[in-house]
Amino acid sequence: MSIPGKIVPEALKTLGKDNATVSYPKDKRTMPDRFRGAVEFEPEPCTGCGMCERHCAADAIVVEADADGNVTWSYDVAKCMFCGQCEESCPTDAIVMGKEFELAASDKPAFEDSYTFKR
Amino acid sequence: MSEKASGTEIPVGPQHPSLKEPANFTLTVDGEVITGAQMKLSYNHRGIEQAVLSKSYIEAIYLLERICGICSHAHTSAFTQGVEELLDLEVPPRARYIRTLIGELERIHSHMLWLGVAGHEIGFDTLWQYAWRDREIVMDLLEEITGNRVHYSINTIGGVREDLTDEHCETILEGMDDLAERIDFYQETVPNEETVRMRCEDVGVVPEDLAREYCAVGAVGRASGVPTDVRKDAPYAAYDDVDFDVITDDRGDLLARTVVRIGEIAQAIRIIRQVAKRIPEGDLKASAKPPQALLAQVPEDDVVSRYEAPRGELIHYVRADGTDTPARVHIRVPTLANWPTVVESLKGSYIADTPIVVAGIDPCISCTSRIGVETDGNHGGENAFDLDELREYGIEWYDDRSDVERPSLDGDERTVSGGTRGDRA
Amino acid sequence: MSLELDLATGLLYLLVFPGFAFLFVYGLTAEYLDRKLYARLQNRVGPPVVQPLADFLKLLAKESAVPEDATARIYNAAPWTGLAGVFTAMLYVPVWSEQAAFAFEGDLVVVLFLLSLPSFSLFFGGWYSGNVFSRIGTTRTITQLFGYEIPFFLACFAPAVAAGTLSTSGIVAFVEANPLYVFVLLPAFAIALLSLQAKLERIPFDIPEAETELATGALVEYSGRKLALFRLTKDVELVVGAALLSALFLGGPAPAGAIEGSVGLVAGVVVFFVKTLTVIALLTVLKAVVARLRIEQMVDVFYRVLVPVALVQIALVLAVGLYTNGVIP
Ligand code: SF4
Ligand code: SF4
Repeated sequence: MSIPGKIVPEALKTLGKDNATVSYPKDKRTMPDRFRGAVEFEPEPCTGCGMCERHCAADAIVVEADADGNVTWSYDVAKCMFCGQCEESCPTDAIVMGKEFELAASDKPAFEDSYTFKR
Repeated sequence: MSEKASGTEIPVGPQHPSLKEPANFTLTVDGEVITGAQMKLSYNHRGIEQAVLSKSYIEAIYLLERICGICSHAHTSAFTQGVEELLDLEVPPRARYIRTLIGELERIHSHMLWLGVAGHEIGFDTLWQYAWRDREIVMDLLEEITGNRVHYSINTIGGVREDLTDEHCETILEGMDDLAERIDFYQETVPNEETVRMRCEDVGVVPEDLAREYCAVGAVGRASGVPTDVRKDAPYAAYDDVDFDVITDDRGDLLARTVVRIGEIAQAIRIIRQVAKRIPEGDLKASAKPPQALLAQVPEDDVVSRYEAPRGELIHYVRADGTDTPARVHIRVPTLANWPTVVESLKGSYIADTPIVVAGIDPCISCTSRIGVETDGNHGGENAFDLDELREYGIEWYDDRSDVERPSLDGDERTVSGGTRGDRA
Repeated sequence: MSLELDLATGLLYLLVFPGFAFLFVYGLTAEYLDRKLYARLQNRVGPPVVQPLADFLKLLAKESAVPEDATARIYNAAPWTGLAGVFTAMLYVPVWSEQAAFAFEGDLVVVLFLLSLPSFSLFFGGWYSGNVFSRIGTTRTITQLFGYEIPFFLACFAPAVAAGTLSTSGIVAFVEANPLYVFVLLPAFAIALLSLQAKLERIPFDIPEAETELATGALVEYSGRKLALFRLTKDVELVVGAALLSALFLGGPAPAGAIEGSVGLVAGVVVFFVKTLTVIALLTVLKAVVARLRIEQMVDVFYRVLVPVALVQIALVLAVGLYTNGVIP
């Protein structure tokens, strides 16, 4: 039987250490370059091909085209799971994963984002 | 002053502070000693296997990734490896190395998490806080490399989506140096701390024959002296190119499981250092085709894919019917394989040991939730179904509901006769 | 002194210092310091100063339910008994001088008894709340009580044997006069520390309330005001226990006790805080560096290790006493 308390030296050393956490929301970490936040969409290059919709497992993106050639691209960040597949599948780089991660809101429309443009 | 009335039943779970996920144990206790144990699972059936069937293989990766918030890479790797086998794709070496790297970082993160949980279960909250603080080293690395702390989404069919830069390799090596120091500390203090020994030594013992009989996998099996490890037995990714040892211990108790898991972290660091130093140049994907073109080529076939997840052997079964969505995906998570040992080793333990014995297999309870499984350790309790009863139940269910379409029975013959069911002695 | 005390001074002792008001404030402060130090040892940030008070007030404002299966009268009365016990105990423990607020020959026994009251109140409250978890918790509370009380009594009697009196104030005066006894009594101090930790049901002896096993055991059904009282009892018990230990083993107000007048009073109070906080800090560090034991391991440690050590300690004290009195050369 040995004396309990093997980590006493470590514990006393820890007393002098800085906090291990940042005090959010006062301080914030900077996100790494590859961080995948909310999807950012640019209507210019979009061709309305619908590949992003097709490969979105969460059904967060819907692409609709009407008879007059108007394309409506809509995105629901509340459904999105930030996998980044839409960015990868889009042939024209119209979609980029952004850095925004503070996405909480209390009303549903705030999550939805929609663009209508002519193609 | 102990309660003498034998046969007092204590319900543990489905909501209980020591179980963060829903599972139920009914313990029969005599004073402080457990004389019988029964468990009920599947309070949280998520239907993820079914959901996958309505999605293409590419989407399925991200759904399956969300089976588990800890071994997410394990699920995507097992699945993509299966689909690659169906497609006959040769994954380029650089991609295989990156998969290995992420897999090992994930193993460290999972084992450190377990160490903390185990500490908390035996009332050693300081160990818990330290382990989780040091775990942040790998979490930060993972976020830096893949863009997310938990759902790395780095696997895709035929390779990986993100490359590793030289700066990454350097940060990884630095991180591993810091971590190695911490692991030395844990290796030195945790198994030698007297109070930890008192709580873990000879507790939850699973002898080797029991581990073999119940097909224990992962660290639970290895701590009982069964050197099972898919990384050695059927190497995938880059595991045949890197050196590492399979850590085993023959004591089979909780202390052994702790020692094995800390040892595995040290081995993971070893693997990661090798990967960071000698990752080969080359492509990231087997084919430059857009994903949709690949999906169009999936043949009609089925495949079983194995992966050594942090908790043990993970199996994905994928049946393809020639379309771009799978016809069946079945997942056997490692926790399911380890439950019987828990029920068995609970008997004869003290009530006080329940949390740590349950936590000892590093259970991922919600991952396990598929169909009702109830076991008292004797291959099924009174509510257990065997295969025939299950089939009968299914037929009756459809008989009662004329408006529900019956699933096609075409694939039946093959699944039953397929030689994946092992003999049970 | 106690008999010619006039009513006003008595009330002052009882309600303000070292009685109710003081204990309330110091108890909450001690809880804060305990939690903060514990957090820092774990590299956490820890709670702000007002947290214990905020917790207490919040609980007071909450509904205090009585479970259907509980025996309501006992269930409701239990929190008060423990609290009353620890508050009363403090009056017999010396604070600023070697004299306690009230003192008589044999008051040590009374203090020890009063300090056991919280455990009994926990037992009755838990047992009659009609919950499986609290029943197991109370069984463990009582088992644990039998485990630590004997070593605790033995350890506390060691200085009593040395001083030849069962009065706390008398013991303080004796140790103050013979300061070297602090070193002779070190083993007893260690035992008393461990027993106090067990009495307070803190790690590694938080077996009866083990969060991960019993979901706080005896207290499982308690809520609102009654839970607040139980928690306050714990805080005050911590302070009273620390005060008792510093009085018995660390010489109470020494070396400030020798100073006369109001300067002496202030110095005595300062020494009191330094010593009690030291005891509390020791208990906190102990809580941070070990895992929780099982109940039978706890009893085992106390009977097989601590009781023999306590007996040896008493023998040692007797031998030292005979030696200093010149009976044995
Ligand atoms: S990031 Fe993933 S879930 Fe979100 S919109 Fe793109 S594909 Fe859909
Ligand atoms: S965003 Fe890209 S993938 Fe989606 S419709 Fe437009 S071009 Fe196609």
